[in-house]
Amino acid sequence: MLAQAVDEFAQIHRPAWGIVSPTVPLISNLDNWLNISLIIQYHQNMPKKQAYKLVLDKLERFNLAPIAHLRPSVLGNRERFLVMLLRACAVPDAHLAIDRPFLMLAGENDGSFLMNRLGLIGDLYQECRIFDFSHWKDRYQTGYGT
Amino acid sequence: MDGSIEHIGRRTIHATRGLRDTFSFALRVLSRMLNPRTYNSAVKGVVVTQFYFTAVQILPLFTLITVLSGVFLVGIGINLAKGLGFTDTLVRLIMAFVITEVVPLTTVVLITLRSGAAMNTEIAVMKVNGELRTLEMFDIDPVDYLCMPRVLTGMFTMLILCGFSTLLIMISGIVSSALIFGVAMDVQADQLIQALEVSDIAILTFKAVTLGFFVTLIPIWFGLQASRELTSIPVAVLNGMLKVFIAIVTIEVITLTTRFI
Repeated sequence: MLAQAVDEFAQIHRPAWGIVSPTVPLISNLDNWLNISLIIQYHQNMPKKQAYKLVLDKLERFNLAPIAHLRPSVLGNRERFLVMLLRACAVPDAHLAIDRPFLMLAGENDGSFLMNRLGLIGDLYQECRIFDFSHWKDRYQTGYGT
Repeated sequence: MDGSIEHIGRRTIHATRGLRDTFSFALRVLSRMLNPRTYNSAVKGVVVTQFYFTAVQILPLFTLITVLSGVFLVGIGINLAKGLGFTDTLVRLIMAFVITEVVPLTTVVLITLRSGAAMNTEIAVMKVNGELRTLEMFDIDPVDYLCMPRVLTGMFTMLILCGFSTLLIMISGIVSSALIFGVAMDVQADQLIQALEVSDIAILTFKAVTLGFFVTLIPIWFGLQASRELTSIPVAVLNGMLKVFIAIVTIEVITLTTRFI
């Protein structure tokens, strides 16, 4: 049901869409910054140096510049999620789909972390839709809206 | 009886389909290779990285093996052959054998064992981890981003290493002849250069490019055949490496047959 909803969302907004999902992992043999810049370099043919600067600026918003040259395997849940979020936002004018975020953010009791971080990068996407189980609805009642 | 005929038929159909799929994949990779639009910034980055992994990291071991081959085959071999008479013919034969057979074979074996196996495993692991799905989700064609750069690098690496190997074998042969047998370096160099023929270089180039293409393409293809289960990784690697061996033997047989027909 959820997968179908995500697919429908993708059908509507493709190619201007980005996804954050436990079934769409980071590429393990690329550094974190390369995981994000891959989308920019591949689709916009942006030179590597320029893409690096852009990605570093984005990582800086979450104070994640120190993890730029690390591999995804050493990241914690929050860091990995944020890199995936920035990767999804690398698509120009992205319509974001976040699929079951609490599966990736194990240990988070509510949506405050998620909503706060989405707020910090509000200018990087057009729309964000979260797809989650209805029985986890309460987790999103954090005062940030849903 | 009917059962065994059915079994043979099934195996033949399966093998033919496998061969057809591999060649259609090869054509897809080739068409991307020839399309300038494939070479975006991300793909160029993969080509550079792969070239470092495949051609540069292998250099110390490759140089050692090549120098040893030069000392034994060209240095000692040619000087011992001189004692048998027919010097020019024997030198010519040894040089032709070294350049058209020894150089491409040692190079391809080293590249297959080192890079072919690594590529096969890498792609299979990516498939199992769902990383190929990631590429698809972001509209990145795995053939453009993963396969084509690796195959292109394999071809270039084979070509460059075969050239380097030929040069190094001749130099080490000349130096070892001078050190062991006291043969004047200019005399030995002159003899080797005269024994070298354009046809040998042409065969070496053809074999290097063809072998480079298939020893990278086949492992990648079999890596892509892995399922989402961890246990499919060793199966994919085993199948890939076995088919690479068959491809090497086939190319060797075809080139040898073509030369002597």
